[in-house]
Amino acid sequence: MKTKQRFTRRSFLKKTTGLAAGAIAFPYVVPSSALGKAGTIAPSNRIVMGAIGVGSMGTGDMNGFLNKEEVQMVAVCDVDKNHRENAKNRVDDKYRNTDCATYLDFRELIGRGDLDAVMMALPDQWHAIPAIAAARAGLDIHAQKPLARTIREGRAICNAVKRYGIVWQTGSQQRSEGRFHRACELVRNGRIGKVHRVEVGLPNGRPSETKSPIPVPEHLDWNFWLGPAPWRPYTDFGNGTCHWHWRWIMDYSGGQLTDWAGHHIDIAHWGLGFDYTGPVEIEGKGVYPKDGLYDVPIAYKINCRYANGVEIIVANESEQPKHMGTAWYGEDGWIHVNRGGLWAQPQSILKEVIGPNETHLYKSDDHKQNFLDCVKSRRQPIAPAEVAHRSISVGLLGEIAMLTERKLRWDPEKETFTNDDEANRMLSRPMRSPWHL
Amino acid sequence: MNRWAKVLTALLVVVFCFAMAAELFAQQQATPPLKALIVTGQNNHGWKQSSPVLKQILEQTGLFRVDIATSPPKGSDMTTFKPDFAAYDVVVLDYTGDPWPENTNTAFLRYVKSGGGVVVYHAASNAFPKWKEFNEITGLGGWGGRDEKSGPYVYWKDGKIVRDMNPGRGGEHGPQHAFQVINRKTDHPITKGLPEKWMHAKDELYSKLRGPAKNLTVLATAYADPKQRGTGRHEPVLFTVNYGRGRTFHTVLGHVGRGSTSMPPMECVGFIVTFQLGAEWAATGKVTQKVPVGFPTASQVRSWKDYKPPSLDDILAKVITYNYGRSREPLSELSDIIRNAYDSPEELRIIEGRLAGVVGLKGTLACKQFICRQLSIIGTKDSVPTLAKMLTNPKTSDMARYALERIPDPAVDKALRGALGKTGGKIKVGIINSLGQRRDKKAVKQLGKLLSDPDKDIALAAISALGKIGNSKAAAKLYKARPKIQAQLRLPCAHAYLMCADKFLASGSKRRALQIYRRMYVSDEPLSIRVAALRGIITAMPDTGLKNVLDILKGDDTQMQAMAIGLLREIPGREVTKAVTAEMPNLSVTGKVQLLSALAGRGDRSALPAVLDAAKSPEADIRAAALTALGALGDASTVDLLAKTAATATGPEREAARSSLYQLSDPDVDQRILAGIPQADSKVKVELIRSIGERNVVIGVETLLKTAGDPEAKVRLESLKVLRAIAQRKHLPALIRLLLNLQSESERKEAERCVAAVARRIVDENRRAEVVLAALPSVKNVSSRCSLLSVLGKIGDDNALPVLRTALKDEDVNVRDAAIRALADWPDPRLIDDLRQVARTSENKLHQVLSLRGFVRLIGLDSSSSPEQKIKMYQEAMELAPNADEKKMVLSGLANLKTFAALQMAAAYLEDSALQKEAEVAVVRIADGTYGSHPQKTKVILQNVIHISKDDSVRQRANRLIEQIKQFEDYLTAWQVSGAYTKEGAGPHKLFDIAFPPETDPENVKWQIMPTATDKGKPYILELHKAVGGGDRVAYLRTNVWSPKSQKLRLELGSNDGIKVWLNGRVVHANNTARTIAPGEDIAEVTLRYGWNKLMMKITQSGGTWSACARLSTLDGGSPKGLKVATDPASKADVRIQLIGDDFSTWRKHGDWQIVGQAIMNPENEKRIATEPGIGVIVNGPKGRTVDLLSLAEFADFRAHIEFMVSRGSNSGVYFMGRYEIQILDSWAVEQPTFSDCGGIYQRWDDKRTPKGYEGRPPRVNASLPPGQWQTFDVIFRAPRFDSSGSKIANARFEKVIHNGILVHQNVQVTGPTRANTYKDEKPKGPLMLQGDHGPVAYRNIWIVPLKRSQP
Repeated sequence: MKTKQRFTRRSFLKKTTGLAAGAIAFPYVVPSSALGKAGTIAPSNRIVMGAIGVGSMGTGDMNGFLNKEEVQMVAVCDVDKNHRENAKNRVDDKYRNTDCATYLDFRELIGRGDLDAVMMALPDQWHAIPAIAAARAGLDIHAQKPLARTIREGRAICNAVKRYGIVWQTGSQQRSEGRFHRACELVRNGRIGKVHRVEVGLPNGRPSETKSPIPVPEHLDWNFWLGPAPWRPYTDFGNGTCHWHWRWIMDYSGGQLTDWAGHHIDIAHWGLGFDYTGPVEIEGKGVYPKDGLYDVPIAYKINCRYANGVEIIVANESEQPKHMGTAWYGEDGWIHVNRGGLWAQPQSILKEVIGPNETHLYKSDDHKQNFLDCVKSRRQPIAPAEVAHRSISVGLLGEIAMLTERKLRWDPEKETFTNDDEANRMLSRPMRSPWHL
Repeated sequence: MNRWAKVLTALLVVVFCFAMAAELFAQQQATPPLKALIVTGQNNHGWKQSSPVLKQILEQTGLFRVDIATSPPKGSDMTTFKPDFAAYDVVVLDYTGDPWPENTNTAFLRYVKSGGGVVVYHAASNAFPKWKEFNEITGLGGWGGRDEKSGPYVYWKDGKIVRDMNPGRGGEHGPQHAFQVINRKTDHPITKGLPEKWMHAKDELYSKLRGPAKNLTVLATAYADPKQRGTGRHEPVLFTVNYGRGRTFHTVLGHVGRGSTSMPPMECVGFIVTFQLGAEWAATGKVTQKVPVGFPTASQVRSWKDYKPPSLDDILAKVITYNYGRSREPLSELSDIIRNAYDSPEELRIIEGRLAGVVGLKGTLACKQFICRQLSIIGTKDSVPTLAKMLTNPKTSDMARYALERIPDPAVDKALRGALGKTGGKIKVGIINSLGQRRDKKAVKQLGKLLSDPDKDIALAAISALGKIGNSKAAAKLYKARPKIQAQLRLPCAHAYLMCADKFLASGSKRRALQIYRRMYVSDEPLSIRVAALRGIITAMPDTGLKNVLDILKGDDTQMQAMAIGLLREIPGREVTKAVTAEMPNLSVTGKVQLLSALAGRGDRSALPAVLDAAKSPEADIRAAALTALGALGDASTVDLLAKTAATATGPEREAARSSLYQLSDPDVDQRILAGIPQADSKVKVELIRSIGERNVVIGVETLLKTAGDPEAKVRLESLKVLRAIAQRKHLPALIRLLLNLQSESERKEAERCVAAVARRIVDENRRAEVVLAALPSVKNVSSRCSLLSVLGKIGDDNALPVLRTALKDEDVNVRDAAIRALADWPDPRLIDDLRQVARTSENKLHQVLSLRGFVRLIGLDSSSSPEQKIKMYQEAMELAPNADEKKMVLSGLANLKTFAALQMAAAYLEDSALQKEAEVAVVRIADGTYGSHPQKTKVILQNVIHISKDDSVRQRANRLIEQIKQFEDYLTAWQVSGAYTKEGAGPHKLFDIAFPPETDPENVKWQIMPTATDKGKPYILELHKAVGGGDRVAYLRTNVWSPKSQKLRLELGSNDGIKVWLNGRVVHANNTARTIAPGEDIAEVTLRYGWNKLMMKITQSGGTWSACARLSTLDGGSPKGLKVATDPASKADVRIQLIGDDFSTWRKHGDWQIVGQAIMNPENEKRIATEPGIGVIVNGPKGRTVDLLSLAEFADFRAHIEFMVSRGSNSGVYFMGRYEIQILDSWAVEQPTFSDCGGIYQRWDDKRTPKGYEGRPPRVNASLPPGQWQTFDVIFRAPRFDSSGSKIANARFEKVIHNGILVHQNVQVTGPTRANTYKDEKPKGPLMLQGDHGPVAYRNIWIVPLKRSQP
């Protein structure tokens, strides 16, 4: 059988130079009836995407993109066959065909050559390598936070994004939620006066448990799942698979701290205008489980001082007076925001209009749509790599401060510690062969 | 190695204790600063044993020199006993005996008063009952005739100290036992940094101590459990006393009997450390010691042999046997030691040496991996030789690199380069990667050769490494290799080559960088590489870059155009803007749209003419993009265009024009808008007026007051709307004038809303109506008066109530109407009764109706009445309603009440033809709120609506809801709620573990139906803040789930915050956390039994909103079939036969078997089991040797679930039918399990056979957990079959044996009873038997489900 002709926006643009877009009708494999509003998006404007990592988070992201008319999802990739097949079924279901390709190895998906963009939702140790490979292939990327597992990996992603001029959106979707935008705009425009302190409350950690290694399930390529992380025998991290609770193991994640740093620290930075800088002094204390499988802190508290004297205190929510979310304290009041609400003192701030001559922050109502719009317009999306890097850096610096139990001084320009050699060694992680950045 | 290090190493070897060595190191430099004196010599306890230990404990801190003052023996002449207290910083009392001579007493008092420290240890509490001052120093004591005259009993209750003056003896204790110590003061120098709760080793727990207790601070208490013959009180065990300037630290812990050889309480880390910290505090008032590693936890005693912390060697000995899945505790200890040594390079070097020694020779792979990680942080060139050896071994190469890569010493590079030639494949790849990561310039030559390696991975690694090294030699190698490189490596190679250019650029070699960029830009590499090259050119030489960009814009490669436009961000400057805008006309539609977006991003206003030009484009997309760009680039001159476009265009263009008009940031814009209004045509005027509101142009009020009188109604209305948003108090008189002059009813209403809104913004609630009230007397015109009364109603300032009440009696009926309307509008439910009264009693039909309307409206606003009360009020309103119209109004009010009762009430009117339509609407609106909580019943009512309704939109809505119900059916939405439960002083984290009545006494708890969810999109979210309020509390939710079969399902949970879940009374999930809700964040695999299952959730909350959700799905995520959910199940049939209950009634004779609440492996003797009273667990007696336990009931085919726990080395077994055994044994970590290992089918035995044992069957895998952990068996067993004559026709058979979730046997037949059986014969039925005589074992949660007989 002759392979069906695949059509991509990339190739389309090249071939139809000079002609008004959409002027020619193209046969397309997707019946328009499957595309919501009778396929109103011209093929030329469809963004051809692949999905790398289609576990729980990835499936959510993928569904989000599948629901966008301008997206054509053509391939999915996962090291777990079950994930792969489920994702393929969803895609095929949507388009009422059986065309979605499946891959175990992300390099093959990236190497297809017909993609415009990829989305990624992977364990943290796997954030940098595929991202850089995709950037190198010129693909635009929507990837989950935190940006990377180490500061050096995050920097490498930022460099690649910049070098190849690709559009990068981090999955820190709180930036596209009105409440957070509003809170940050109020803070940025001085509605609570000069800010001196910010409290960031993130979820409490989980207690550990001891688990024995067991045989690797047939549907999983465990070696690939581990990737650049140090080898360990397969263990059920909870709930019968390795997919749920890897987040509590330092080889793959820094726990709730690095998971949520990408949200509430991100928001703290946005409000303060710290999107492109970082703290100059970090000190932290964590309570680590001593004996079980999980080794990320159960409780944590990190104090960060910035060059202008502002202090950000990041801690698990039990340690924070206002619990979850971001709370800025200024000379004239405070503002606290989380997914449950927006509060302020004085309350009247919340009704104030931000005038045309004040600072207006980037506005997006739909995080994934913003990414797609930018893929088309080549604008910077609302959560670009560098911003995400600076947000997660606070979490990663905090992690190092807790592990060394020392007050660390940080140069946010050079991204090195100025007073601690051991801490500097922790800025990157050697990778298991054959993986490298 | 330098000399110091040699000396130290030698010391280490001799003393083999790292911590001690550090102390010795310290001691050699200075003598300890503090002097301590232990006073002893008489004691009813083993002072000869305890005093030297106390001395050792104190000396170990490195802070104390210790002397011991031993008194003359009891009964002898004491006059010579004159210790020189004054020479010491702290006096430790290990003495209770004959009185000291008077002058010794005086000296002691003088010593304390003048600031001396005292430590009172255990029995010294009880010394000198008659010596008043001594007792004031010690605070509390016991025995020796102490009673109420000695002072109060002191204990801890409800968060504070109780001083209890009840009469009675002082001092008692029960049998020795391990107990938990709780620190009550956590900010004291002694307790700061200690865990809040810790387990103390088996000891006497002093209780009922009494004494003067002046200036006494309780640091820690322990609960004297009545089960240990305790008082049931929290007794103080550590406390301090201030006496004069002196400080006392008093510990009642540490009992040592006379002649004892073992002293568990003194070996307890908790005792030792608190003693050390307490002594320092007593001596100095401060604590400088760090809390050491290995402190006891809330549940685990920790002991130090020889009363000192374990040495590095001790820890390493444990680390070398570490394996995955084992406790990480030794690893934690080792990292703690390393972290504590960070400050001392000497110590670190010693540790490094030891680690390198261990990793080079011994240890499991897991241990080596761990040590390599440590070396990666602290390693130096000293470790390199050892690590280099590991580099070439496939098993250890990666871990060695992990360490090497991070060690910043050239020796590493040398070692890596050296290994390059000796390795191949993946190892070599790793080494190349490390060389690249380390940017080793010396490796370039070797790496260059590898570029052509036939092994693709090696070549790829070499490419990347050279790119990272990035010097000119590396670049040259890459350049040379490019033409010949394998096709699939071209992209990485180009990437690496570009990385070299980036490096050159960063180091200032612009020329060399440009050479590469240009080369790559004109190459035939993929687009991405050329884009990167272009970006390089732009960065290095913006002018050239710009020229290239312009060429691209002129050309026809649209893809490159898109990328180039994206890069414009990085080239600043007006000329750039000018040059690129000049190219705009040549671009495609897409290109133009992109360029406009880029221009907007650049923010350079010189692009304005081009943008304005684009705004005239015939292409709608381009116009929209241009209009959007105007928001950033436009000035006052663009106001007209934007306003005009907003007024005339449609769709995205109109949106873009409006939003740009609102964003324009030129300071003249506001004036321009105001100035433009008079001349503008009415449509444009409306847009301009609207922008005044959006831009918050406060100075625009005057203009608006004018336009509010515009001839065009639309303009007038828009003006009023904007005034409502931006006018201030000072404008109220003008607004009122405006209002009074308006003729049109609709505008007047708008103006009323406007005045009311401005008035409501006044901060002082009591002055809001002021201006309107002031205006009222002078207004004579009736309709104007009515307007103002209506405004007063909307403002809702209580000061207006008298005016309104007076107006109720006005002679003019219209005024009376207006007053009633105003009251009916009153935004305060307090008026609910007034209105109800008028509605009931007024003769005036209109007034009746108006007040009824107000009444109905206020029911909606009333937040203090319960939904039930509101239903009653709506029913009352329905009765009062004089006609169908008013009834419809009641129905529409009712529709806001989202309860099932409201749904039922609305549904009742579906039959009434006059009201049917409104009832239908009400039903679908209410159903929107009830379909979560009452999915099934709501569905039935909705189906009825679909059946009878003639309104398509209603039917559609009903259908949509039914669809949604189907979608959410797997969620459990029908719940009862109980709570909230709180406990003073307990935060959510603690509340999690406090058992409230739903856990302890569920049937006598008040349960209410959980209100429906209000989030339409998520009807399954159980909003607890709406049900039980907020703040440090707990709620319980319960429901019942009927399952058509016994099945394993996934319970997907979400909660904000902590969640604990019970299924059929057993905890199936617990997560003490704090978070926002994310459905399915927690997953628990649960087994539903056939029939009704009880499900209960406990949710904790810390603040803000809180909620939970739960759904059941099959293990593969599907929808389980045939489940029913009900808060009140019709039948509670239970097919499980539970064998463990609160007595032994389900068993035959039970010998020494005991029922207990908890069983753990005894930490002091791991061969034994320690228990805690309670129910739920059975153990086979204190010694682990008693009878076998046989169930009373007999079974044939059945499924069994058995949970068991063995202590170290112990043995038991489960005999199916009393005959066929599945072995239980501590088989943890056995690599080749045999039939006699845990999970094995034990062998049969026949003395006549050779071998005598036969038919034993090892488990397929060893699924054992460590001893002390609870394990499970899940077994499907089939009994042997017999024909009618009694001859066996089929063997007994283990259809499935699952050990800890892992299948260990499938379909294994057994031909007859196992060795050591109770019955020799075989029968169709038999009891379950638990072996009780082979060692300590505990069982819990054993249940059996009889199975239908399958064919043999």
